[in-house]
Amino acid sequence: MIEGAAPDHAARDRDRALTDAPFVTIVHPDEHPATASVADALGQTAGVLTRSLGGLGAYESVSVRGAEPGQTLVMIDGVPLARLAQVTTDLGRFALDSFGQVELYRGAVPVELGGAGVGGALNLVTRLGPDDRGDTVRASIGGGSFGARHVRVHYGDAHLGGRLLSSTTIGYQGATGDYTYYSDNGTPLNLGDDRYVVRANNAFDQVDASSRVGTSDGAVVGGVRAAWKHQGLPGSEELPALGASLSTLDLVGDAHVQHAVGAASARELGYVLVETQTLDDPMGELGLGAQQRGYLTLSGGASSTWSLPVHGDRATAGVELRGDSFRDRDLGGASPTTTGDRAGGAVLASYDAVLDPTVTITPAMRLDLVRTAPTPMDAGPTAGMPVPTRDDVVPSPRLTMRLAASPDVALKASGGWYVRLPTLVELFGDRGFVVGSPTLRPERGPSGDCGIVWAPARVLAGGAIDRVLVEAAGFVTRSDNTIAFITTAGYVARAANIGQSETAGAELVASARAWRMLSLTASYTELHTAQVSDDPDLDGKPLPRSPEHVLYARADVVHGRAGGWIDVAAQSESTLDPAELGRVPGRALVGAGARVEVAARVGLSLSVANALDLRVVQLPLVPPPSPTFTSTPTALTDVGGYPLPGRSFYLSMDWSH
Amino acid sequence: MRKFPIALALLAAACGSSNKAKPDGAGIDDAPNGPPLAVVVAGDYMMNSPGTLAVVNLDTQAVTHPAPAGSVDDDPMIRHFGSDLYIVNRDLANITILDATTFTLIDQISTGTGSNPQDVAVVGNTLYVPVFAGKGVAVLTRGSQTMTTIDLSADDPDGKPNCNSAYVVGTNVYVSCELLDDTMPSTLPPRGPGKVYVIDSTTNTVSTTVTMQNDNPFGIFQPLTSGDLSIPTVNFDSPTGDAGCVEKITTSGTPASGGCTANNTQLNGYASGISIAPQPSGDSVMFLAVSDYPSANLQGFDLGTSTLWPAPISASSELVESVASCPDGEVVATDGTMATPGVRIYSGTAEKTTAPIDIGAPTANANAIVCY
Repeated sequence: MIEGAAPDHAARDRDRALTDAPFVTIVHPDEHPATASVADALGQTAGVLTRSLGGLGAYESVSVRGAEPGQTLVMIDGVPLARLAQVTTDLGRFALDSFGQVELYRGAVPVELGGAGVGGALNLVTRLGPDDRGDTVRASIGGGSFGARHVRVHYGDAHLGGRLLSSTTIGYQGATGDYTYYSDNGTPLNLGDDRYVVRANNAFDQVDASSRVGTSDGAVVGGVRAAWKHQGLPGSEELPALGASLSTLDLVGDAHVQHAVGAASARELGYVLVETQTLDDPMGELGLGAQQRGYLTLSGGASSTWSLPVHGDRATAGVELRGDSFRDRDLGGASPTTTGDRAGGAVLASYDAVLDPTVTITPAMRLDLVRTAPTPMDAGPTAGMPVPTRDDVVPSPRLTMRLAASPDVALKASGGWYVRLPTLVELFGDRGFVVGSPTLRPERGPSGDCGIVWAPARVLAGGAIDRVLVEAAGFVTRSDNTIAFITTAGYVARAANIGQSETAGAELVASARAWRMLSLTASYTELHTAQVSDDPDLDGKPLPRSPEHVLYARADVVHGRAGGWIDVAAQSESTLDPAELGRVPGRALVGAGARVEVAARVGLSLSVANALDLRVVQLPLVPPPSPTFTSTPTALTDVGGYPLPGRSFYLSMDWSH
Repeated sequence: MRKFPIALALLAAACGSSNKAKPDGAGIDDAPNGPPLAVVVAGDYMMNSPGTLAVVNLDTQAVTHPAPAGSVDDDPMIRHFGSDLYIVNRDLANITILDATTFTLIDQISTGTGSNPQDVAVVGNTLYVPVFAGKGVAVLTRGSQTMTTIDLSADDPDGKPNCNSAYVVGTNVYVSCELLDDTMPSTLPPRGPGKVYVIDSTTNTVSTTVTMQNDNPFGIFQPLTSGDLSIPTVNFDSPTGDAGCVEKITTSGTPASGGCTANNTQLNGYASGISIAPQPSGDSVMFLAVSDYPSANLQGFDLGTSTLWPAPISASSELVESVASCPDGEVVATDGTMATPGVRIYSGTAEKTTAPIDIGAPTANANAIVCY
């Protein structure tokens, strides 16, 4: 956004950076292209690695501090999404611009924000009322390469003399996704049949709408959010699918009330979640045969959290209840329906001990009690036989510490245990070739970090530099009892606890603005991962696709009514597989963009992604077929077999009032 | 794994081995000078994850990895014909041909994107590749990108006869097809007994069709010393979950089913792979990798007396996925035990190795070892 001065990026959140105990990344939609997904934006921040299965609209997941994507809890306005059927959420499904901000808890996660894994927690937040500049209406429309298009309208206002705030958004996004990619035709050692191929069945259409209201003091807030998406499922390069598709409808409704009871304050939350999906594979391209399946997940929950001042400290306690139900139905009726339920609750407590005005220590404990129950088989040799339920009792102790060393400097540290419960299929199988493992242990492990934030309020260099924010953190995590599907005895697959993974690393975020016209920001992550396994072929080797060095850097320049930016996202070499048999070379993707205010409150923006059109990378061949044939070209990917697009343009127009 | 992790498991089962029979027009397997070698391919079933080829010197138990990177994908099987090794990469859908002595690359040929190749038979420069996701057999030529298809789909209403193995006897190529109901992808029940199509390689047309006595010829063909063929079958959709046997296909005269040798009830499981070892007495022993979830063991079956050896050869803690008999009478097998995968060597009913020989990658694949 142009305001006559360059944006100040991370310094926008100076207060939270200095006063929040955990390390939290705040993502602001107005600093990203109109079609950016939540995953796109997070991929530019410290500690996060995004994995995309394709271009705009494709499935995207994030790995936080080297953790598996399923280790990161995803919430919408504080409501945890269901994790009964699957633990990994498609973050490409959420349009960034439909939210007010995105908060990523990279390390410590407050106990009242649900049960998180070692990958932290992500909260997608709707912002109520006018924006920072007082605008109540925002609208944008645009189009670009590979059929990309969008239109979005947002209205956020104050009512009743400012006592009531609202936010309503409706948007559409779509693309044909027909970019070309480099194909080695499945023969990496035969260059004679390589060619460029057009990605097919990669289109999507997506509509989202949300409306939320609340009192200005936050005492009463509620709203609904709906998102529908229909997408082609193009399959992998080796197994392309021309007719498969997936339709998804998400509904979230929630409300919370905060009230005072004597000296204490209480917050009551209630919510419902509905997710329906229809997978249509008429030509049997995704599995071994044609199928049409309907998935339904219903969830509901409530919580009550009480907070009480105690001699300058603050004690918090709460209770949560939640139920989830999942059904996987063969719409053709050829195979039995898989269903399951999960019900549970949690008790939580924390205590903010203010040791002196500058030091706060918060011990906290969360105890989850969960029962997971499948329904008996309705066909086959075990039809009607009772299936035992599964109970989990999982404690998650945590400790955070913040020291305000000066008004501009804060030191933070945290440690805790986090957990990811097994899914229904992992526990009980799929009534087909996946065999259940009812004794599976939850993925659980400790996470710890410490670091420093420096965010001077004053200007530096004689007034030339302002908005400085520097954040440096080190972290370690360990995930025990990692769950993975393994194939056994030649034909069945089952989930198993396969071992541990350990991660250690460092994050550096730096941002500053010079002469109010040039802003620079950089996020760097150093990551060291290791598998801990009884298998000597895996033990000590890094996790696949976890580069040791990840850097995102961006420069913005604004002059008058025009501005421009350039960024680079780079990552170092990584391993391709758990046994470290192959390696993925490092890469750097460059982007650029510009915006001109063509009339009052009307802007025209052009952005270019992958500006250098990197579509082919050279995979090293060790040992090589010959002294002159030491590497082989392959498509640029985040996930093997799923090519990413080359250079793409996007032109959009925005208006605000 | 191919498309589905699970499905791929289904596809993956069948155990390859090489032996002293004359498998095809390419001639007798060449046994290089020196000690016997076990050649193992291994992949982790994770799409686009590379696999590896390891060579185990059976005398020294030393392991080398001489094959070029890119030769093996995540879901491989291997055959040894003549002086060449043929690696069928199911996920990448290609056939990689290596020199069996020097392990240098000879060729790598696509079988068609998404075709899911299962096996390979060789007649001169022509490769016959049964494809699980196609209409029958892809016919390839070494040194060429051209490919034709022999359509075997007439017996399967869904158009995919799920062909899974091929073997050359004389000028005929025997192709087994599972004939699964692809409209029920979660269980893939067989539509009825499997079929063996006999293709005349001089015309590439079907000369005879054999209806098997059992459903789902799940394994791959291995030749008996008589010149007949054996192939494991199993019906996962049967009441017991593993009905079937190792079925013989006679090749002299009019090809026909020769009935069961070892049946799955005897084995207390089903054979994911077999290997035939001629004995000095003139009889043969069939070694079987028998799967009985969640375990898998190595068993022996005396073909002369039609007698199953009284006890499994492998220890109960092992997870035997692939088996191959060697020229010197030893037997090698891959042990997919999660913590300690590798290759084990047996002699008679005794194991020569005290622990699996690590090959640098997990060994969870069927049909993944040959010995020569």
